[in-house]
Amino acid sequence: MKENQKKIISIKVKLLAIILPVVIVIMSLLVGVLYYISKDIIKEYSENLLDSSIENQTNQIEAWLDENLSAFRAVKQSIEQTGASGQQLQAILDSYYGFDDDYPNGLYIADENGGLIKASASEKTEADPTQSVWYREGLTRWNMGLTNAYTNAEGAKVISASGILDDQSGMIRVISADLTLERISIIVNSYIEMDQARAFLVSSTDGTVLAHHDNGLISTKLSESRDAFLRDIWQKVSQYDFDMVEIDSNMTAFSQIQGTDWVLVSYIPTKVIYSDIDSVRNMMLAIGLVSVILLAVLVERVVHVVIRPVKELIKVITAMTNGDFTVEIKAGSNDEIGVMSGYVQQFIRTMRQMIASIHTVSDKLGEQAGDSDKISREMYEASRLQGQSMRELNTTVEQLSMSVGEIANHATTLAMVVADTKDDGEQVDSKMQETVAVSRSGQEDLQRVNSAMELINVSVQKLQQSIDEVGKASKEITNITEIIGNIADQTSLLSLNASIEAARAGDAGRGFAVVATEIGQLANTSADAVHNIEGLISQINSLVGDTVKQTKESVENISHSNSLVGDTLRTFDSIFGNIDQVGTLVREMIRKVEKVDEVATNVAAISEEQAASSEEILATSESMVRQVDNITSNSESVSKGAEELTASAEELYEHVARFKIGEEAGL
Amino acid sequence: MRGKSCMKRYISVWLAIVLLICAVPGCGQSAARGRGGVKIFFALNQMDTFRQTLVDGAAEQAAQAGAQFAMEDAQGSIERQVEQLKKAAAENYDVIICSPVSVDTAVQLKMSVGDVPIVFVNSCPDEKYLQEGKYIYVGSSEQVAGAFQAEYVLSKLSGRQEFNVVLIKGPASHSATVGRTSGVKRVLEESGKQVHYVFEDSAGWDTAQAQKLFELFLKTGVSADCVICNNDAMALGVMEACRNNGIDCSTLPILGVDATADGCEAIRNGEMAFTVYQSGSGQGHAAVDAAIRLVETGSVKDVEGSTEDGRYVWVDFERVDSSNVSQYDQ
Repeated sequence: MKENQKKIISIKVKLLAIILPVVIVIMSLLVGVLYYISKDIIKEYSENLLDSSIENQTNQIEAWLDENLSAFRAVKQSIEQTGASGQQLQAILDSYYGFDDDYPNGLYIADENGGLIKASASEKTEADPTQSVWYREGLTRWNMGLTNAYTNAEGAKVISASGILDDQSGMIRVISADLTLERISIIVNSYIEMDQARAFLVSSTDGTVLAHHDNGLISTKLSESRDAFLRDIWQKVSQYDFDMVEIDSNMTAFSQIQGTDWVLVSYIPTKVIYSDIDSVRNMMLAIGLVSVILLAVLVERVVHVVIRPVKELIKVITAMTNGDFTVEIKAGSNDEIGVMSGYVQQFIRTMRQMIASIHTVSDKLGEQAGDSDKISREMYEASRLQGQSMRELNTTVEQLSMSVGEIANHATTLAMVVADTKDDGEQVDSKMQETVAVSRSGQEDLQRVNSAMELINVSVQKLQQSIDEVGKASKEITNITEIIGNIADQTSLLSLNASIEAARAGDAGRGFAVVATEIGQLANTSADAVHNIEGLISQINSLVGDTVKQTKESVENISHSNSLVGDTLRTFDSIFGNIDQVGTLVREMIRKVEKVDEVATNVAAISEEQAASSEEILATSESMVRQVDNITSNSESVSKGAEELTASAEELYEHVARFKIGEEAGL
Repeated sequence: MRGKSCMKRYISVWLAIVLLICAVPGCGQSAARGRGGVKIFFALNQMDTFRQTLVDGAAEQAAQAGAQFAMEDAQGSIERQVEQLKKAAAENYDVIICSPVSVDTAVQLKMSVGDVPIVFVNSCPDEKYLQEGKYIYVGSSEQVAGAFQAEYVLSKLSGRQEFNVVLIKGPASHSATVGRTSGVKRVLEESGKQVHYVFEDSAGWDTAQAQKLFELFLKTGVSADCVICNNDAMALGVMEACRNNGIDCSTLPILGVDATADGCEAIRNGEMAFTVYQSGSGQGHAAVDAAIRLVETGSVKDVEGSTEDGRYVWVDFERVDSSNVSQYDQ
């Protein structure tokens, strides 16, 4: 996880990490280079300044010396030219006493004999002028020149300007004037141009300090100084090396004073010079630091401004990554980032439209999958139901088939029964015909009774017997009719059953139903007829009984009842008619039974066919059941497919739903 | 890895920048002119015998080097010299050889010629006005002349640990005076001997003044073991004073500088002991050599006699005494 997720370092940090070190290095280089350049410049400048300072000092000192020497020479020349001596010379010397601060004692003259001529007010004393420094040095030149520093008789540290006074006096005379070293020191130190620079004057011949801001050093020797710096300076001066040089951390310049052996030494501590450089360096460092900070802030700001759109872009892209396409990108800058933003915005729009379409499609798909699922369920249900129905139908058809088989059996049985009934009917018919024949003979007999009433008595017995026989026959008839009634009942029942079965068989059994109805009606009619017969037979029986009784009574009352016999005859006739009718009916019935037989046979045949058809129907129905089962299983798999489809559609929907695209796209 | 390649890139970019910066000025210097094409202008302050030898030597050397050479004489006028230099600059002379009317006009002279380099001869401007490769001085070091004098004295008085020296100097502020005097003093000082400067004064190059001063010195009664003069003219004055005071000049070494005709004559006569010959033609030759080198390479450091700072080319003086005086006698 940690390896995958790289640590995110912002562009800002990266840029700063690159730019700042570079800038710091550049700044440091710059400061360093500038420091060294400015160090050189300041050093050169300081050198020039010291140079010009010491030059100016030199000029000032030279001018000061020149001025005084010129004054002395002027005095000397006037003495030489005028050849002044005695009072005149004294007057001249007196006039220069206090004439100038630089040489307050004025000029004085010594001769080879040790005579000293000086201004009257001068306090100068000299035990032996010829042994004085000024005299001895003055002897070496005619033009007045400066002596080395010395301490005069008054104890003052001075230098003198002295020279031979060529006054044609016949004596060697030296004229001289004293300049104090304090005065020279003041002159030297007054003309230092450079701040914090120091200067002192030294004789290059013996290293005597002629002028120094520290009066204690005046007229001491550099070579004997305890100060290493001064000793080093002497080292250089004694070698006539007057180039500017750094000695003991002092920038030191040398200048020879023209017309003398003097060397003006001016120096300035380098730390004074470099303090400027250090302040410049510090200033540069400060500026550098401020620049770096400013730059850092500037870069930070600029980068911040520049990458702000990128950050927004990142937000947008992050949102997009999380599926949120509702985000918007502000119209960006006109740079590459702006262009990028534009393209991302386009991308978002495109994605939004695409997702919206996918949404729609997935919705539809879901819907369709739902529908399809529902339909497939319904279909499954339907096909299941159908299968069930088909199985039921199958069962029914099976039953039907069985029923038809039964019908066929029944019909066969019926046909057989009917054939039997026909036989019985024929027997009844023959019996009826016998009955008719008997009735006729009875009628004839009765007519004979009627005719032969007298014989009645005799014949009554016979009659009685005949009646008995009639009674017996009636009973037999009754028995037969009962049988017929039974048959009719059975037929009726059969026909009912047949009707029912026919009705079950539908169209196929429709014709059969008609037959069954007919058979039913026939059976009913047969039954009615049988009842009628039974009623009639009962009547006959009762009539016969009555007849017997009446016969007996008639027998007893034959005499009384000849009319009765006539009635009886009539009655007999109607009986006869009735029997005739019965016979007709029976024949009719036989015919009908024959028809029934025919029909029953047909029924049987049809039933057979029907049974065969039923078998086929059964087979068909079974194959239908199988097919329905197939359909069911198919529709089940369809249903499963639909379910899967629905699930997929839902999944798709869920996936797509993760993308937010706002209302704008029409979701 | 990435950091490293970044660093490499940075370094290479910086190197490229540095190279570019370095390369640009490098194209600047090139010797545009051929040796034969160098145009030299000689601005003379005023003609005299010595300077004639200087000019002749320069002309001769220029002709030998195939350089163009022109000379004009300012006849002692600063204004005329400035005018001549401006003209020379306008006429595209490559280099000026100038013996200034006054060394104090060096700045004005430099301004007059603009960028054209100047080889100063005969009188040397202050060191601060010279600049390596641009404004140089060709001449003989006055100190050397003084040193030659001192060396002669030392050899002459080699047996003495202590001796008296009379110094007759030129004008106090004159560079030749300063140089020659310091040359004498330093060498004598370095010898470790007790040297007494019993008389030291300026006679302003003047024979009569020198004579007067030396006579004055003689009055002091101090003995002198040698008389060193900054030039031959003053030495002649000293000799005159000797003659007037009955001093045999051959017993007193009198030294001068310049090897003038009179000086050489005095040497031949045995009156003057030693002089130093300043080679006018040698300076002329050296001036032209330095001028051409300056134009061609911008530096005279490889010219014989040049100093380390490249501001001076020193032409040797020549010692003249009785042994070789005939070579210098005209």
